[in-house]
Amino acid sequence: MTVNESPEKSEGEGQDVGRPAGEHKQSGKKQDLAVVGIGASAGGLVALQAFFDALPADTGMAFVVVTHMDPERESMLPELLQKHTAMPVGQVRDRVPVEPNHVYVIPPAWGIVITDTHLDTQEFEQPRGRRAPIDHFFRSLAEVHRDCVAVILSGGGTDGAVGVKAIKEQGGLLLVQDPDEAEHDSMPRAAIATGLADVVLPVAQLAEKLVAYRRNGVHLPRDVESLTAEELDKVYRILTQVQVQTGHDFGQYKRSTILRRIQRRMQLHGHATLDAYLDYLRHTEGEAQALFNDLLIGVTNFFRDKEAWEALAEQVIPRLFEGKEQEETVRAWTIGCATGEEAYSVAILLVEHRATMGLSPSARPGIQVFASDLDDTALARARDGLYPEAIEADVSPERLARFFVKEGNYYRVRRELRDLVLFANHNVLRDPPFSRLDLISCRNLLIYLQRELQQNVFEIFHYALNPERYLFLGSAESAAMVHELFRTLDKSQRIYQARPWRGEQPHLPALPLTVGHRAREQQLPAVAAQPRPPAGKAAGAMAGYHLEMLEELAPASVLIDAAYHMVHLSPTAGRYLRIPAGPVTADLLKLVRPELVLELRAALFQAFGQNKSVVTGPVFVQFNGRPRRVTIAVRPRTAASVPGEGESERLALVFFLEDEFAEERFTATKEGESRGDDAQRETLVAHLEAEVQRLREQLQATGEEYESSTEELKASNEELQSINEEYRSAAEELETSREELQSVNEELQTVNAELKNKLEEISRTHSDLENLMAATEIATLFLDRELHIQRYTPGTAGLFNIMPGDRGRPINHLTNKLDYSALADDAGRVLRNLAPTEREVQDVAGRWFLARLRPYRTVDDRIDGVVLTFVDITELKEAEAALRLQKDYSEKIVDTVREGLLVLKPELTVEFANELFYQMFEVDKRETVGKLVYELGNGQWDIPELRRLLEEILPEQSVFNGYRVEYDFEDGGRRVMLLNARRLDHVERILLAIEDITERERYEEALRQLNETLEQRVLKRTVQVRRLASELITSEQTVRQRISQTLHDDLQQLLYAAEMQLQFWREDEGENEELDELAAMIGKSIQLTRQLTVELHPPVLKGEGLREALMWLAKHMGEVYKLQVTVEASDHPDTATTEKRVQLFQIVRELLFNVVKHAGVLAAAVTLKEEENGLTVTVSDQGRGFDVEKVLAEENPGFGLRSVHERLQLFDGRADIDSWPGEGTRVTLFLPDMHTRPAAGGEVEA
Amino acid sequence: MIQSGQAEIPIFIVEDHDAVRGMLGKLIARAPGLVLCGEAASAEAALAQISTCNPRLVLVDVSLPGKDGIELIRLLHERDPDLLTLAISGHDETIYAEAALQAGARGYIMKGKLTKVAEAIRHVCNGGIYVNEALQDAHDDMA
Repeated sequence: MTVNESPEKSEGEGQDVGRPAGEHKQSGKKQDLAVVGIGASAGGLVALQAFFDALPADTGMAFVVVTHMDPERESMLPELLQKHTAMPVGQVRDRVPVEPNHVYVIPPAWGIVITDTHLDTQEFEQPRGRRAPIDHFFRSLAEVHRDCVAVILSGGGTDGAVGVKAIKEQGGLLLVQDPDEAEHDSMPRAAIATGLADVVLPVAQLAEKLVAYRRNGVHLPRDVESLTAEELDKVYRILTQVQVQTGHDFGQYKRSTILRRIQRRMQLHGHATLDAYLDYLRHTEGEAQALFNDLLIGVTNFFRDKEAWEALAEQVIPRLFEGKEQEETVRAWTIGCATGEEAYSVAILLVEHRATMGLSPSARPGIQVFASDLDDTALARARDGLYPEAIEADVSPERLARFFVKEGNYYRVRRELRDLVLFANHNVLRDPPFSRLDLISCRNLLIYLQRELQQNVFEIFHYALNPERYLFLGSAESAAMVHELFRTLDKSQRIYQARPWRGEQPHLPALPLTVGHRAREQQLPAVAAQPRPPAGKAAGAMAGYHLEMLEELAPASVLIDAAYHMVHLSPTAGRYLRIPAGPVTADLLKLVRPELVLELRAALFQAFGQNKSVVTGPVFVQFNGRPRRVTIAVRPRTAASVPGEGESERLALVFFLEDEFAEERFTATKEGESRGDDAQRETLVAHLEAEVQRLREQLQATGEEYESSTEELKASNEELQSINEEYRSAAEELETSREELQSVNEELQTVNAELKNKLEEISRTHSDLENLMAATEIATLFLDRELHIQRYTPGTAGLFNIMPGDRGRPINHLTNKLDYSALADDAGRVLRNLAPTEREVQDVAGRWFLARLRPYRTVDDRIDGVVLTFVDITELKEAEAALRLQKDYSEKIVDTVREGLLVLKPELTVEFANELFYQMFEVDKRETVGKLVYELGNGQWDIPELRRLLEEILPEQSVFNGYRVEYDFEDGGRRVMLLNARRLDHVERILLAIEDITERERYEEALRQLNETLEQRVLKRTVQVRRLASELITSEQTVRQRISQTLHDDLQQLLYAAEMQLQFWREDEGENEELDELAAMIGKSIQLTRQLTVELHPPVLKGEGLREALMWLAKHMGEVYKLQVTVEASDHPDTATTEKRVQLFQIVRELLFNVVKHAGVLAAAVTLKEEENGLTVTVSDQGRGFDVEKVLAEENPGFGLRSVHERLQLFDGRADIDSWPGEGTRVTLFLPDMHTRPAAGGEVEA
Repeated sequence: MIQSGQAEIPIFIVEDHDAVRGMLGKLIARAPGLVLCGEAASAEAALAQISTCNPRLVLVDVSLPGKDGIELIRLLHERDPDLLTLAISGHDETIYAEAALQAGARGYIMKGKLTKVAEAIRHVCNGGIYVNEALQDAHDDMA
């Protein structure tokens, strides 16, 4: 059921689950209980139920169901699922051990994690809405369970898409519900989009697949060492298939990883043996690619291993910019970038740091990130830069906002970041590296490579990096093995710094690093030989001995390949070899002693050429000065028998046979010659002949070899020439292509710019349209040819019961508030006839609308529907009705009016005349309307005055009123008319009203004359009255004066005389009471008469000026009434007559008495001003004041104010009283000059 | 300057009212050091007689028929600036007093205070101006 990665673990699987966690920690990261994580969201309940329905209860697996739950509500999910499975279903409330055949359900509002053997709840770090519990769980699952299963069912969003990568990286299985079946396909699609889904099937079949997967239980050993040679051979054959089909060689990848991945594929497809899988691989299209993809699973997340990235950002990134000039570029290379997250992470760090440097954009160094991978599909996605929103877990909101654009459930890398990263299909083991780099980030790639290869890769890195620049490795990798190339900067975060180059030119290992079959062959026997089964061990050792001993005794031999390179030497073979100067070589022909070269080459050529054993004749070789005879035997062999190798390889064994007796024989021959032994001579001859024969053959062979070499050379030469030609033409083609590309590029750029403009225009137009639609209050409906609603303005909602969801619905499905049942028919007619239609329709509220139906014409003049507009014309209608009423009303008025009225057109023809006009001038309509105004009634209106009015004045003034026209009509006699005319510009009409005032004028004249007569009589009387009044006053004054004078001149003088006489008596008589009484009586009489004198007629009025009189009055008031009066008077001589002066004096005195009596103050001010046309006197106080109007309105107003008025009126003067309660009183008296006063009667002099 | 007590001061009275004129004459006669040297009822008569009487001081009633007292004072003063004049008036207005003084009078006395005439004459003859007291008294009277 479970897959065991090491054979010895297979027994303990059942108990594993129950073991305490501590034990597991010791045993490291291994868990044999298969845990299936199931992620589901919207629409997931149905899918989950179907899944468990199809799942047997005894799978031996544990199931963890992770869904998006409402954190506010209790979940019923466990109960709902329990009905569909026999396994116990429980909600994870707390830390619980994981047991097989159990179902665990995530609790609401909590996340769920797995730690070794237990499930635990965890609080979310992210706010609601950014939580990704499925990803969260999958990641934790991948961390502890190497062998796990992720199932993605129906759901919205992209949760799970990041977590499944972690699962897959650990060799887990990914099952996804068929999006077509899922109620919500967003989550399944996101999972499939990762390219990692192993199975995409309807949910019931997923369950079956899962069961089968577990049942298949393929048992591959965990390490290569545990493989049998046969199995190893199969593995190589599998990898060879992958190489053949995908072009990528995994020979150098770590076997354990490869084994795990192959095992998963086998398990998935139900192949129990490597053989069966190899067969499947060979015959199933796409499987090689699938295996390749699996082998390459590069799981990268944004900022995977946060601490490492933070260390990189702090320690390395800033240094990358040090010393970079404006023109220079910081170059980084991300190897094994997969879907690009790591590359973008590097780019983000670089951009962020560059932004902190505070340089202007033009002064900044450039950034170039190279990102490479083998997997083209992954690269395509990296280039696309579209990531599920689950990356929110890895990328901060600030970075998301700055570097990504949200597109639905996905984030897309912004253009500016995308442009910094160059993605390329590149194999670091095969292709030349990028160079002059500042940073290489190669994370989690080296772990797949074998150690030797790692060494070479580090050399490449060292070559590619600028001196002192940085290397960033994955958490499980280390560059410690190449400390001579890299120094450690941060051991825990795997950051290394390249040491400076030792020489001028750094060493670049020969590429490709995988050197093909030979390298593998070399390794194969070594690998295969070691773990031979124990049974063969002793025999093997004996055989080894045997071989060793044989090698010692046997002639020296060398095993070479078809290229004459030595593959193996026997212990004694060194005797025939000599190391030449120059490069070290394995070429036997270069190493063999020079004497033997000729013979050996011929023999080898013959042996490989004809595939037969060849023995050369003896060659004399001097060993340590002693000649020896050496014969070379070459024995070719096809290496089909070499185990583990599919293709045949040709080898040859070269023996060196040394003749020990050769020297003696040689010597003997010499001796025999001298002895002249015939037999020996014959032997010699025979020998020589044989020698000649052999030489001849050798010569021939050499000749043949030469010829064939020449031929070969010729052929090679021709081939080279043709290749050269091909290169040339290819180069030319390339040149042409380059030019074409350039021009195409130009063109593309132009087109792009144009498209950009157009797009902007379109979006502008679109937004204009949107705004127009939103702004217009006119209800507008766009229907397509089927009369389905395409678009509508907000105003439409007032008339139709329309909602955004109604787009695409037929118009007659909508109810409306219009009394317009023929709407759809009309629309149909417009479509057929292409003639716009208008109708006035009323809605239920009684409002009127003008419905206008027009065909919708596209830009290319195609009819693509109907546009309906409904313009509210209620007001128009109402206005129209009101206008009609108004017109009627106006006409009635015109007919009622008591003036003749003409309406003239601008050319002065009559358009209309009212009834009274006809009566007035005894004409009828026929002889009036349409006539020029001057032609009316035999031209009686052709009056020069009227012409002037109509033709000169009216155009200038637009209105004239009451223009009087007198004219002698032939029959009507003299008539006087008043003309009122008005230009009505907005209707271009002239209104002419004619009022016949002949009679009226006559009456008015009579009235006026009557009036005049009356007025004259009144005037006369007024003068008389005035004179009388004046005479009255004067006579009063005269009488007063006379009495006063009499009092003063006679009575008073007598009293003075009496007083004096009395005084004499008192002086003469001494004390006398009677006299004293008398004196007092006389004194009293004097005082009384004096006072009476003054009050009757103050002496100052006798010929003195008004000013003096007022001064006196002020003094008098002060003396008598304690009223402080200030007088301000001009010095000019008074122009007033005595009469007026006396009047003014009396009035002022009365006003001052008023102050004393009513004002309640002890101060008043009097001013006297002589003005051009008269005298002004003011009397003011700051006392109580009074309401002037109220006081004057009283029947008998106090203060003598009315008499003040009346008295002043006699002299055409006036008095203005200005007072208000609380604000004092000010009385202004004005008397006009004589000159300005019309003579109304005789002056009365005092 | 005439020393009082050594020679009697000749006084001339101009007063249109007979009773008052008689009383004034009586008053002069009774006053020690004063002597009535002539009297007239009008300005014209006064002008005609004064040159023959040679008075030291002329008492002039301001209110005279025809040419009034003020005018007379002016004329007398013009003719002989050394001739002293003292105005008498039944009116208590300061305007008359001022006018009289402006015309050349050396004093002004109210008819209600005629008992003070002798005192006023002596005051004027001694070079003083008799006015303030009279005016002040007039004020007192009014109160």
